[in-house]
Amino acid sequence: MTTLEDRLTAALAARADQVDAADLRPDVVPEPTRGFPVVRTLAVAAAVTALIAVPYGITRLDTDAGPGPAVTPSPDPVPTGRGAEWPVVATGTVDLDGDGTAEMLRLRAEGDGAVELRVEVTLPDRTVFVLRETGTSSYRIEDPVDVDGAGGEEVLVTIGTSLVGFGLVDGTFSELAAPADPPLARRTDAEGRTVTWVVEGGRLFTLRSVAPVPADSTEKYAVQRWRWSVEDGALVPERVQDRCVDPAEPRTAISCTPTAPALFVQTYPSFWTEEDAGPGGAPMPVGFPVDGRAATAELVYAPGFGPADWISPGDVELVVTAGDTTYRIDVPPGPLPTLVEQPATLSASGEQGIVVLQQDVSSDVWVVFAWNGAGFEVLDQPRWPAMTDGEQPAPAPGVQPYLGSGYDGTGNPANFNNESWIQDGWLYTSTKVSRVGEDARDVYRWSRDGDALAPTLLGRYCFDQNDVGRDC
Amino acid sequence: MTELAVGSVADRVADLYTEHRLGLVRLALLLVDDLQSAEDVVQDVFTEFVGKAGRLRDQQAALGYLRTAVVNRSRSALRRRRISRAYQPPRDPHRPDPAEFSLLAEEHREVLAALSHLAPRQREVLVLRYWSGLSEAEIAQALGISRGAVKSTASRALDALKGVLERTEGRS
Repeated sequence: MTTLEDRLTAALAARADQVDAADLRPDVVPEPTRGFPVVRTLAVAAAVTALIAVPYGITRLDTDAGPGPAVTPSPDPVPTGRGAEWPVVATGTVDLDGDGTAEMLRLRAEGDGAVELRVEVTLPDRTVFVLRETGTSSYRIEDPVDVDGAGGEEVLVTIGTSLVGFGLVDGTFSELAAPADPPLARRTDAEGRTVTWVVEGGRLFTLRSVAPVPADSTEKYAVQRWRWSVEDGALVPERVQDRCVDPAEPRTAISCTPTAPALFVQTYPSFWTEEDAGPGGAPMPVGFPVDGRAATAELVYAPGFGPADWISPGDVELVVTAGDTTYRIDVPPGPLPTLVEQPATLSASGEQGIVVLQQDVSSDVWVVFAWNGAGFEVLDQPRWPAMTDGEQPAPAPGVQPYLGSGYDGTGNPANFNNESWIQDGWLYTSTKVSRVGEDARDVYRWSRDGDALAPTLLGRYCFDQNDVGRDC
Repeated sequence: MTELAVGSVADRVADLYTEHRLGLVRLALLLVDDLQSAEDVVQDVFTEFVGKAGRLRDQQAALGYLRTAVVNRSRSALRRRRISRAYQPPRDPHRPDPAEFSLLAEEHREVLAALSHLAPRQREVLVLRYWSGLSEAEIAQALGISRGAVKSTASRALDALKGVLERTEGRS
């Protein structure tokens, strides 16, 4: 262990040891808020489809028991109320109250010529239900979704072509009102546009094609998108970024840019570390053939270099060995370089390059070495104009990206303004859109354009605390 | 799906709470800097854990889950604090703060202050490695990243820590 590691270990231990059990607040062991049946097995039966032909009617809401104090649990409360004796025509499960335990969901209907559906959920202490008159001949239980992201799942039932949501509203199981536009349905609307609903990342969306889609079309088409949430007992749509849909998979929204992933994970790349390739250590396998041969790469310092944390022209070379041929390329001036284990894809044809990362204390720039038919060259790229020795403030939000990472002028390293990563082989950079609030970032993908790297804007994505970016 | 009896779940949570609460509060303290926030983080984690306890395989899996949850919630706490510039940790004026930063030796204060300048992920990796004593594989599992990413993040974090310390010590 180095001196620094020893210091760090000692400091962390000293800090942690400041707190002892006697310093903590009194123990309050969390307990299950309500009982579970003892060794209960939930039978999950496949949903079945029943036919009911009735005129469209009004919705009535009812429950067996209103919200109240928890009661002694019973294995399966006996359903009561209107429709309790109707035959069960479909079953599923839903975690209605968000306690992590699935509850039984049943659809009951009157016999032949039924006029009502009873959507029923069996909680441990009571059974709740909603009566739904319907004018359609078919229905189906869909997988439940936590529509509002609040913890409890909503029951989703397809009735005809419409999707109807049910959930707990102030403790009462109710149908969730939904607007007519945008439709929460799967159908072709009066203007010929294709409408569907999908679940992405655990959230519910409506997709509607911007224009009518010919039935035999194989071309990707643009869709408008709305994300649904629950407010005051109603389903509320929020317009989000347009995407595209491949007719072969009409229920998956994809980027309109070819091959862009559905979500981004800003993971720092793996290095060919010094312990692997220190002085005399093994060179790194390049990971792709160079001029048709397996190749290795290493960084070689000029004799007598350092100690320094900044290199000048001629200080460090990237040495690539393919068979009996060696290629030597100067590493550009900047912080000390490190080899990145993963090669970078530079074009749709599969061309690849070697990435060298030059790290300063608080930021880094990435250099890409690409094959030019006779040797390697450093691809030109937007360089950070303020790239000088020492700590480097990143450019303000909203400016062109550069291939590297750096934080904004607040001095807070957590506010990384420009982040780069490799995903599925491709190089990506995101730039922060605003300094505070939701971490919305513009995401770019890099590809080779002649002897330069060019960024292509893929769109705006919101990144969570785990650096995973999804559509905002 | 088979659920445990309610008594079993409650006993299991109580055992975990008794055995690991202090250690998890200490872990959170190293990530969020103040004791009250650390206690809140751990209490929230256990409260959320109650609903899931019946489905975890064994004690070790439970501890791994709790550790990951503490790291994630600590990061959320820091994030909220960063967004809300006016954040002031709640304090009971009648209760002396045992985790008062100034009570530490200057040597440790310098290192911990430098640690607070690192990006959250870097700090988490260093705390899990040098305080929790986790292996690279265990850190990777706790943070949901690859072992390579753990290695590179740790390397980068130590470099950053060294740089901050050098600048700090150069000024003093």
